[in-house]
Amino acid sequence: MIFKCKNCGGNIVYNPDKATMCCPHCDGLDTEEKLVSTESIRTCANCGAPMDSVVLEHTFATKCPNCGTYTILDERVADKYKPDLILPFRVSKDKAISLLRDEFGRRVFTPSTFLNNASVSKIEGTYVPFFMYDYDTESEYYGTGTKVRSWSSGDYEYTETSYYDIHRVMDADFDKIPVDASDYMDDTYMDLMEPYAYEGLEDFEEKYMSGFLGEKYNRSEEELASRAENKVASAVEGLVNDSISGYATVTKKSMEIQSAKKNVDYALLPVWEYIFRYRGNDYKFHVNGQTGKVVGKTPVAKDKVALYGLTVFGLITLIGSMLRLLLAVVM
Amino acid sequence: MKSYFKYFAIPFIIALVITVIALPMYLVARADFLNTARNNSSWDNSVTVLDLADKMSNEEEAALTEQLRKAEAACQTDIVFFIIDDPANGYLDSVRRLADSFSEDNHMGYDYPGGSAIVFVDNWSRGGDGRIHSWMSTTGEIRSRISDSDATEMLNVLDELSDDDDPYYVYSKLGKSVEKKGSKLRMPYSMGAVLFVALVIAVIYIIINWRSKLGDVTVTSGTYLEDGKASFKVRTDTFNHKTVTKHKIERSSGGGGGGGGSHGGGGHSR
Repeated sequence: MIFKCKNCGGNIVYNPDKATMCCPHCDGLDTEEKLVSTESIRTCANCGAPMDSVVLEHTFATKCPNCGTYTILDERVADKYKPDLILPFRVSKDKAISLLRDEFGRRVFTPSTFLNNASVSKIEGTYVPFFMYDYDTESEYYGTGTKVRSWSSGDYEYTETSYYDIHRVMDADFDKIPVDASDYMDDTYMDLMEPYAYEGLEDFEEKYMSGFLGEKYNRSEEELASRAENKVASAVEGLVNDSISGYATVTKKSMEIQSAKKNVDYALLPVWEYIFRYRGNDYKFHVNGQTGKVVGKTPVAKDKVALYGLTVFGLITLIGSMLRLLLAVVM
Repeated sequence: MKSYFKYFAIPFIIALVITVIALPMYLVARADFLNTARNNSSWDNSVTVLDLADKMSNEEEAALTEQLRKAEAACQTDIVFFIIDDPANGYLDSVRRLADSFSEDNHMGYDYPGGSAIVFVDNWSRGGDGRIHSWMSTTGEIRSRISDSDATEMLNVLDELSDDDDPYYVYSKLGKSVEKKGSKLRMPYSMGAVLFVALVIAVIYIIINWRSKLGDVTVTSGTYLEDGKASFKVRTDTFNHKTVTKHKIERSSGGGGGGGGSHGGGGHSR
């Protein structure tokens, strides 16, 4: 499936700035026309070029390597693969580039080509498959807290330690705990992308995907439930710990968490991905397509480290030597 | 390279400004220092080493004299090393008076009577307390560079001497200390210290700028809570028991004192 502009016939895409479909060729707004492909999913619906190189096992949205048309693979967003929810992009490509430059522009040891226009323009918006789990939990915690008081009397210092039994029973219901269902995306990166602002969630519509890449879930929600449960356990423990205060030390005796999965939604969440290749390694950077949060670790150019390090050494030596002469005169 | 110069623009300007101020000042001071000739007709300064106790050979006396001449020029100070074996001055206080009066009576001073002068007296005759006493008297501007405690500390080198030792080596060390501490254009710290500090700062700079983290965790325990909060059915903190321990407080005590005069200097007994 592709979206064509009714006015000019060009490939119309979703524009995050305008939050609507916008034709980049004639600036037409909401002039989309869905064109469902009758050909193989490995052929571009616009130009007929083969797309084997860009249609991988889980791809559902891609870009034709020949004509650049954004194509959505119908059967990979239908039936069991049809997402329940989608969080449309709110951060445009230009904004994502600007956020990357704000975050990493001042890193002195990054290679000079790291954020130049030629490199950073390769950034692509991708919809990442997530399962969102709802859990109801009940937890019980037992622990011991101590409070310490000290005072002096005569030649002696006294220390009084009071022991308290801490008991908590807590009900906590969690809504839409996200777990990425993509093997390609690193879990660490995806966890750091959180949180997304869920008020922007929409019922799934294909038009939001035009202009972006995407993949369907690689693993089932049952396979990924354990990651969600770990997140729930960690959050429950954090909430209980937050409720305990005023003690010098706290020792946990036991904690029991009972959790019940209520609901699971399959959702697509927006991520800008920039891959910078440097000396044979790929460095990945991600920008949350909704909140603009940036995640990534910059490469280090060793020639810059040497140049800048030697310059600092030289400057300090020069300034120190001149101050030495100055002090010899004034002292 | 454009970003390099932009990045270092302010440090380059600071270094340039300091260089423009410090280098000419130093060169002018150095030229002034080199052009300041000795100007004291009352004391002809023909004697620098007076070895009345005959503790050094003629060659050693000549070598020490040459060394002290350099120290005099660097410190712009008249210097006399007065070595005696005089039982009449067998106490530290009499050695001090001898050193002070030698300076005063001979009108010592580099550029005028009363200018900078150092007189070191080492009396090899053991006094009533069985010890050998020495004194280094300082007069004039040199006192701002060699304090009384500096003089006392310098004389500690005499501890290396015994009755049978050749004292030339120790006197020579003392002369070097005087030159190092009393030099008029004395550097406040060594070039080695500058290089060390520059190296440490450069390494810290590299470490700080090399470090890079993936990103910050911005999810809290309550981020995905329905309605934004958890409900506690039980939330109790019950006192169980308490313990009291005691230990004895260790106490300590201490004290100190000090003094001053127009001649300065320091003494030593061995």
